[in-house]
Amino acid sequence: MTHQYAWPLGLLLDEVWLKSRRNLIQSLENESLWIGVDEYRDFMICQGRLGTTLRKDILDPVLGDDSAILHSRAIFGKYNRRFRYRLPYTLAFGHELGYYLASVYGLNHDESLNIARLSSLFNTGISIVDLIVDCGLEQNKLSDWLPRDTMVKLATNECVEDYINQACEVEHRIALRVVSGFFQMLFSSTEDSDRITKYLMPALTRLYIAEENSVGNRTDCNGYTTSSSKSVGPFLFIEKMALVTRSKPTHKAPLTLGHKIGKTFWLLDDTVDLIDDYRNNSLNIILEKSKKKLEKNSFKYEISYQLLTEILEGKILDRTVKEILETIKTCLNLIQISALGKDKRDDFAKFYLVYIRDWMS
Amino acid sequence: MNCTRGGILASISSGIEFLFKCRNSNGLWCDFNTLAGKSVDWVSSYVISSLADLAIYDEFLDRTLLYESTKEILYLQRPNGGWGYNGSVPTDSDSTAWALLALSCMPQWKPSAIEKGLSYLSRHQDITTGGGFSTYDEYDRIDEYINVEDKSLVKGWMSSHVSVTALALEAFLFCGQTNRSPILEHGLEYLLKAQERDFSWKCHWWSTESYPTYQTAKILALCKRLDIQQYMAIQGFLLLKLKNERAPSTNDWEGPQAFDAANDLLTILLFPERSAGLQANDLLKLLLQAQLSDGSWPASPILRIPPPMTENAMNIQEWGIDLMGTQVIVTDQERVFTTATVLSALSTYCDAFK
Repeated sequence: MTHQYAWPLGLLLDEVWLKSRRNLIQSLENESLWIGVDEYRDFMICQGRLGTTLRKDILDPVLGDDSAILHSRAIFGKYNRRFRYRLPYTLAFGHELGYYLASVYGLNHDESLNIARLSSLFNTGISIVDLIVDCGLEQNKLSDWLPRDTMVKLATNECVEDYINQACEVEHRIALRVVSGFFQMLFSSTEDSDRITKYLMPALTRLYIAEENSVGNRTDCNGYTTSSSKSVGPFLFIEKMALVTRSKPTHKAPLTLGHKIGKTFWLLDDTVDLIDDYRNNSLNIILEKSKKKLEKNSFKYEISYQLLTEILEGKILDRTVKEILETIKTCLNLIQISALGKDKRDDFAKFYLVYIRDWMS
Repeated sequence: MNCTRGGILASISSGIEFLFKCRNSNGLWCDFNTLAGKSVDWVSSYVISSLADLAIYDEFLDRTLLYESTKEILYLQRPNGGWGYNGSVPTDSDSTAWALLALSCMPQWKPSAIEKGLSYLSRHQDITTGGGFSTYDEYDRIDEYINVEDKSLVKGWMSSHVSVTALALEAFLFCGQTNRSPILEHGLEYLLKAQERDFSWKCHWWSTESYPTYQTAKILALCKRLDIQQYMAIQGFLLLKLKNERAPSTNDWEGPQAFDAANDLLTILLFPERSAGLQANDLLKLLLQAQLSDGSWPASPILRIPPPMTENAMNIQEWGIDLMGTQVIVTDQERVFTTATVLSALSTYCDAFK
């Protein structure tokens, strides 16, 4: 028997939204990790310009005749606006992250730039696949439009054009072109394609499975793993690309920084998107943990009220914010003790902190 | 006239500057002088929504100013969850849809405002007559506002309308509904049935088909209910229209007005890879040429105010231009509404082709 909750649902949503933002921003401000508005704006203007250049240099050639449709107001359903607005920053973020991670792992400038370009395209591809899958439409089921064996076909360039042209949705065609373009760029970046097949393809397969598991019926027991793999996986992959494609491979180097940065944005994303994810029943680690905790108790109110109350009154949100803060500090420390020159270390740290602010906008 | 990326960006930049100069002290805009006064809530929401689409041009557009304006819109929400034409007119679903679309572009400071707004909107969907959204329903009390005792005297304003439906559905979609929700399903069916034989859409509140056609084609395409053949048919209609607007002897443009041209260009750009590039270029040139020295675009009579009891405004032949009252077509005298629309079209063109 459940009771009627006296507090309107909308107000609970407001409270959750306020609490999550307030906790995060205040914690960052207290540690002087919150970038000022002018510095943020100036940096993002430059990132926007970089993204526009990358679009022309990297993305447009991959998309060919489909490059114009990417800016249509008729694609990606409810994510259309978000996609169009975010595209240059998605390209720029991937580029900068790839460049800095590659530099940290000892790649020279040219090699780092190569990883930056790969990472830019990879980040765009994974974002597009994410959007398509997150739409939750039947025709967007990953295994239907991008079966796992097709990934291999795209990687080996086997009948790519025929396959892409058969895609029934324009969004699928765009995603397939980007994935295919990424593979072409990746395999041409090294003479030793076996290393890619051996070290990168399994990582991609794990990402694919996480993406597939992130929608539909989930069980609480795999929520954490799926959420983590889906969100942190791309960062790990970018880091691995740097290690695998460099001239002196050191496969056993610890994958720490990329993982920690990925973890920051994963937890940040789930904290900032709490309300949206709640509304859309999307995978979110705070929601998953709160649900799991509730399962141990009997339900007093309807699940939606109970869940929001748990987030407001419980400790999961506070703990997540604390974890974000700790992860940020660890990352900044790893950047500072890296072998990069001082200017580059400072630039990397600034890039990281600006995007943390950006994630919250 | 400079049709390069630089030229288009210069035009966008001065258009944005014009709009920001027009803001009142609260950071909002007003336009369309009617018997009910000028619109603030509706026009401002439309402008914010249009400018949010230009947010990528952050060299010209200060997002913090846009946030301020959006917060003002949030404060204007009425206790019933809706927004109105301005503060003195009852709430309506078109203004509410635009306000929700404006809010959906920004961080969701107050999720309950969205919940209440959507709840208000859903009340206006009439499933019994096909799933369209009316501008007003009986709880809005538009009859009391215009001082009539018989509700049948406002039945025209309380009927389902094409562009209102398209915008309401877009608000539902961008506020989180999936394409397959019953609200969207019913609304989309209504829109598909409302298409004219020439493949355009017409609407009670608008003097031409350009705006309703763009808004309707957009939501149908976003929800995967407009296939490429249907789109090509709409494009065919637009191309014929544009051809007819050229003077036969000189081939010079005799129209369309900037507002219509911008909406036609936006429709053409829904599927840019299939678009008739020549026509898109013609419209682009027309718009760049038409820009005034202050950065705005010339206004024209676009907003139709039919008599409140009239259910089919298309049957009325005689309309007063810029007069007070009803059965009139009103110009956006401040040029705010047209300028915001043209900026959307130019930025879409620039993103796709430059």
